[in-house]
Amino acid sequence: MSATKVILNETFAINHKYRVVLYIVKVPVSEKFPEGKKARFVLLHVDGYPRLLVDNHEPFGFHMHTQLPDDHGVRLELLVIDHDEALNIFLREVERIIANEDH
Amino acid sequence: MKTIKTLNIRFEVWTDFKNRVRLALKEGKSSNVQKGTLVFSSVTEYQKFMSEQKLAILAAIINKKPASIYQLAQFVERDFANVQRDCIALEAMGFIELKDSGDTKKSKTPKLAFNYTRIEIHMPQVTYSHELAEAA
Repeated sequence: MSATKVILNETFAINHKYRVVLYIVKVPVSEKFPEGKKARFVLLHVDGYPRLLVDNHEPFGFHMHTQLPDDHGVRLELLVIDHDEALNIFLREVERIIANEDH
Repeated sequence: MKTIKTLNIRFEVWTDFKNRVRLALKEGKSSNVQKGTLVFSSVTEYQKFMSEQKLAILAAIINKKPASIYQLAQFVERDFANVQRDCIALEAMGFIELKDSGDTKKSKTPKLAFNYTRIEIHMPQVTYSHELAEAA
């Protein structure tokens, strides 16, 4: 059995309403995770529902759930080469959501 | 001697957080939040979030171990809906977990995220200066 290794495990309360949770773990290479890494970036609201989620399982590759919590089935495919790029897109989108809420 | 277990609240500027995480990934290093630590963007945001009522909820969970949110609401003598809303917020921010109690009513048992009995706030040290020589 392959051991999993956590690459990224960070959490950050960006303000009193939202928390960002960033998680990347090495997993055995599989059909679902052909790169051997499972990523999950979440923006969580204090109402308990996520507002934004980026993950990377097949058949979608890196994708962003943009209409949470109402519709988990809406996915925006991210044309990125690795998790660094996916993380940057996620962080920018987090900032956009927070900024829009402030106005 | 009884050991006091502590949940640490630390503060970091959002930009610093982003840069730290990005740099760690770029350099192929792992980046993990310290165990038993929650990071907020500022003292103000922490204070906006952590009300006296939420602290009372945490104290009741530690001292009275309620089996459900309904029982917790009775312990803190508040309306169920408001206590439930506060519990969900405390879970979202990482202070507690709401576990399925396994009963037919699908009620949730509030538990601490880990076994702590104190919250320690690590205030950021702020240094600033006035550059008087250049202003002349």
